[in-house]
Amino acid sequence: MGELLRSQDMELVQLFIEMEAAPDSVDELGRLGLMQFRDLNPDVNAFQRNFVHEVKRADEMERKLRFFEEQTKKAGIPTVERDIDIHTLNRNSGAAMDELEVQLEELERELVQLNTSQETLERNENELIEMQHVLTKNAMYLGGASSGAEGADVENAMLRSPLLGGGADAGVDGKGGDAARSSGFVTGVLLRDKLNTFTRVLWRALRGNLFLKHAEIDELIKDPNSGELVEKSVFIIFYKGRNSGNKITKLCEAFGANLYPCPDSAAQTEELGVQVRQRLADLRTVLERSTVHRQQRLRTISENLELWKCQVLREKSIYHTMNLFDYDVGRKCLIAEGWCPRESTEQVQLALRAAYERSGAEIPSIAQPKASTLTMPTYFKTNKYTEVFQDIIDAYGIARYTEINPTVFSIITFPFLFGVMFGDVGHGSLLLLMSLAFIFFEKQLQRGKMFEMLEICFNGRYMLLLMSLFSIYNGFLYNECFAIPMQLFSSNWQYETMEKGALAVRNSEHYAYPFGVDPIWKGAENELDFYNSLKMKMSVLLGVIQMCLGIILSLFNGVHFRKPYNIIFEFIPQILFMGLIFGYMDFLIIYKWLKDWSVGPYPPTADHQVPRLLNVMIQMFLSPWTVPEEYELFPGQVYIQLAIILVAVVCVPMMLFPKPYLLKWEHEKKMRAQQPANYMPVDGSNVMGDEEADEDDEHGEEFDFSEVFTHQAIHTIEFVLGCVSNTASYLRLWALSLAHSELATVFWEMTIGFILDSKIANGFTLFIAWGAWAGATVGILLGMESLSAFLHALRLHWVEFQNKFYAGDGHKFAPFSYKRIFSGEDETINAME
Amino acid sequence: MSVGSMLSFNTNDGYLDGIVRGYRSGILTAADYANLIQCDTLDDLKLHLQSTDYGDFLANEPSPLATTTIHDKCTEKLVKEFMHLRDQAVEPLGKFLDYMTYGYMIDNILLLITGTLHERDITELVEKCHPLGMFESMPTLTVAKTASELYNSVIVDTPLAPFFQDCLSEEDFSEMEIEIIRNTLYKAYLEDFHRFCVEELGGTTAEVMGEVLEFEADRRTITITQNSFETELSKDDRAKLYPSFGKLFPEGTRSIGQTSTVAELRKIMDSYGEFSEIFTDMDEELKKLENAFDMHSIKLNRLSFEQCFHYGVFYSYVKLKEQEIRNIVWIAECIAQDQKSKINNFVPIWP
Repeated sequence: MGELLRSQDMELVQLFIEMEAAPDSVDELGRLGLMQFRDLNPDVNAFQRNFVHEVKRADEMERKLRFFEEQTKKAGIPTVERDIDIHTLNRNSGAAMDELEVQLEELERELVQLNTSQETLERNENELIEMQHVLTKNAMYLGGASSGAEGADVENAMLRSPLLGGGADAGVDGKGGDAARSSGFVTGVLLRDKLNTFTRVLWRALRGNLFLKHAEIDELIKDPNSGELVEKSVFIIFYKGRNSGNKITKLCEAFGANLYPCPDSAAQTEELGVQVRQRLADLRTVLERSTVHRQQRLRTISENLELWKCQVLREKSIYHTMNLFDYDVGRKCLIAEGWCPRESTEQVQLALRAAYERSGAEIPSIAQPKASTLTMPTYFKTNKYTEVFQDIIDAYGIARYTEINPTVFSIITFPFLFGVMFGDVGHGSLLLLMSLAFIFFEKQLQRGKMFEMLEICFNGRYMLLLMSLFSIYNGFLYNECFAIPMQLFSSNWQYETMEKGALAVRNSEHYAYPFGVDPIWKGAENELDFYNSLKMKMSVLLGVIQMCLGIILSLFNGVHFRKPYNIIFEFIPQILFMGLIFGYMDFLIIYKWLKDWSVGPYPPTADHQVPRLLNVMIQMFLSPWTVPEEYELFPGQVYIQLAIILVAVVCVPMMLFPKPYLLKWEHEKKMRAQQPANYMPVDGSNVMGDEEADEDDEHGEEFDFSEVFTHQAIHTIEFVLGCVSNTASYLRLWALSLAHSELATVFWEMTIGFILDSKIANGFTLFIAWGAWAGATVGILLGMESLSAFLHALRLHWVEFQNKFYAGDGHKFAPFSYKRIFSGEDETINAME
Repeated sequence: MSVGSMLSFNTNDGYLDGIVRGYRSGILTAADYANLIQCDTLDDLKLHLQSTDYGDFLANEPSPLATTTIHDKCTEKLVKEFMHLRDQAVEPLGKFLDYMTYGYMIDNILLLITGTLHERDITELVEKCHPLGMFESMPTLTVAKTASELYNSVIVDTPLAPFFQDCLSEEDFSEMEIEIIRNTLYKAYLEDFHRFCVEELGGTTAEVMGEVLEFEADRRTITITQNSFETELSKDDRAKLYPSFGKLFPEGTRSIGQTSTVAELRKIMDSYGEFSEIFTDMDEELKKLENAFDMHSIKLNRLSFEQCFHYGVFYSYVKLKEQEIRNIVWIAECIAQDQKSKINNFVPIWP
């Protein structure tokens, strides 16, 4: 806990590393993961940095690896999953990296070559397949055209007649290329979805002087460019005139149609078909062989892919980090600066030594602490239990360096406030089961990928555990299990008759229900009145306690940062204001609870009223000098109330005025003292210690009084008003818990309760009702209600609690660590800033 | 419906408006350019562009990079963004965005016709076409020999058909003919777009787009005139090409129609405030005039982001981004050809 209360002491360390030892040193530090490097050349462009060449090389290698990955994926080869632990994997020397680069280069070239040859082969294959289709389909048209009775077919036959007599060369090319011929036909294959446009355009371009037939190819044909399977159609166009022929050829070209010459006699077609089949068979054997070869290559690649990726990414991250360093040309060494936790400087030294020995550099690297005025990063050591709580606080704002960390308190208060709003033994138990399942199967679940919403719950499993425990605890306090009271002990009350409107009588004067609320209240006519009063008062009590804790924490901050003004003129008036006004209210609540009001007659008569606390408080502010009889709770109340009001009123100017004036005075004093100092050697300013330097940062050289004063005024107003509104804000505890219990009651009464009361209660109807009830309970209460209770607890912590003391303007410690880079947490390397 | 109304604009177009304004913040700043011009190699350029909104768009390109790859990839990114907007758009924004693509269609058609005239390979030509101006039957253009043939076989199917009515001739294409077709088409296109923005959309869109399109119209008028000096184009034919709206229309346009030398042109321009500025620091050189026009057009497009609840931002974003791509390519070319002295001759988008 001590570690979590304040962030780790950090130190700015300056490293002098010889050039040769630098990559290894960075590597060692990356494994250690405890050093956050500062950018020492913020003004230098990304491409003008010292090691940009190495980073680019790694980029290029990454590109090749991505290419391989894509290729293996396309070929359907599963990537070989390998558990690579970068911490144990030795870093290759520079030469090995060069080797890897050459290897990748060669592999890429080979793969590209294989791809092109494969593509050519596939294209040939496709052409042959298409041709085969053209031949078979067109054989039908050309052979069986005359058998058709349609007019088109007559035209078809007419067109064909000159062609048939045209000569022996007609079989080689059906196009009207020969000037002597004035008509002919074209056959080819086209993408099916282009066919419509194609037909329309052809019609228009040739003014309808053509005849087009098409048939779908049943199988899908692979497109050699994209490798996808596409639908295609065979078409045949008969036309007249040479010009038309040229136009058609041009259009076909424009539409990307493949033309295949088709002989016009059946015998020739047959012959060509046999040829095509023969060639296709040959081609397929070749293609198969080349595919096998390629698969083999890819398989060897995929085995090493993971390893290479790790190595390249590591290399890239190392040089990317080295780009942050300052290069001292004269001494041939790199100067790095970075923060590390003070207690880990020893480890950093060891890592540097190890790197020095490994790299065989001549001069050992030096690490020395450096004084600076820079704000240190905030670093909390968390474990898997505290991590999620810290994350919730970080989501609001990272703690200022070494200020009090609210996480320590949130670990208990957060689940507790959740429990207050979600108090139900039954619902709590269900949550408990879920969190226990998460924790029990932690190892298995961590490995696999999860559904996003579930993953969020899984990450918060320890918080869920505490939340469910507290909601069970509060459930016992409210005495509710799925909104049904539990009769754990005997009740102190008893109904005289079972009729509606009957009064309950007390069994014993000296018995009280031992734990939680007496179950008799459930279903009583004044149930709500009772629960409201109880929960409302409880919320205010909890709220004031938590806010007072917040104010007291500001005292610790004041002491830690040595700011006496913050203690005297902020903490003291604040705690007085809060403690007196709202503390007094709490006192009244408890006083009223403890006093036995039942001695009088029931119902109370006019002269024997129980004072309403709200009215007492209002009366106290409206006329503090008198307390009417009906508002008197205890003797001497008027003096105490008067004193409270007076002190509270004095507190407000105490908060507002002294601090800015004192700061101004102090600043002027300092300026006067510094004036002669200007004539002293420049060294003078460097002597200042860390603490003073921090102080310097805080107030700045230029002191703007009006700004400071306005700030203080806002702060004061916010606090005074905040006291009222924040206390009221805690009433959400009451509201949420009321809503929760009412919803649960309604769900019960509308489903199972309704069936049980009605005449149709049997196994089947109960089964249906149970389903509805369970669905509503899980979906609405456990799902939505718990989320809403969670959010309200979150708000109470972020706003009502933390605004009393938490600055939250620090920046998080982000060390250079392989663990973070390889888990994808650190994105700077991939994004190159 | 007036799209300028504050009350209803966000119902349909708020999401896209937000997106396009987000895209706008990704436009390179002066600091980015300052860094880019310091690059020594194209790899440096790529490295710097990685730190901007372009991200890793070049990550999968093997070194050494070619400037054409940079250009293609940049355009691809812009087209992707535009198509996203188009896919999400609700009418009448959808139509507005379609109007924007018509300009590219005209360019593509003319590119293909010119290409065929010089007997270039079609697939090569199609690759050169702007992806925003692609349409289905585009490759068919190559078949057409005359304008009316072109119209009947291809254009009839496209939204450009109405623009074509003024240039249906039976003559075979020639260089001159193509230029006339281009300008006639553009004239019809600009007029229609202007009418659409001003009359159908109205509101702030009319205000902003009116300004931008009027400048485009004036710019065309001046450029046509200047290019026509010492050519066969008669003054009457030339006058037919001038868009019939804009700041210069009608008196300015009429007097420009009478000029036949640059000096005369400049004299007329002197009486039009914004143009006289553009003309004063211009030599006879055409390049400089183009630059000055670009500068002014960028200024107008930049200004359109100052207003809310209108469609002009979509137009302006694409125009600004196009200029940015031209700038990047210019810088890349200067680096690739080692012409560092000229590297500053790009048109910065943010002053």
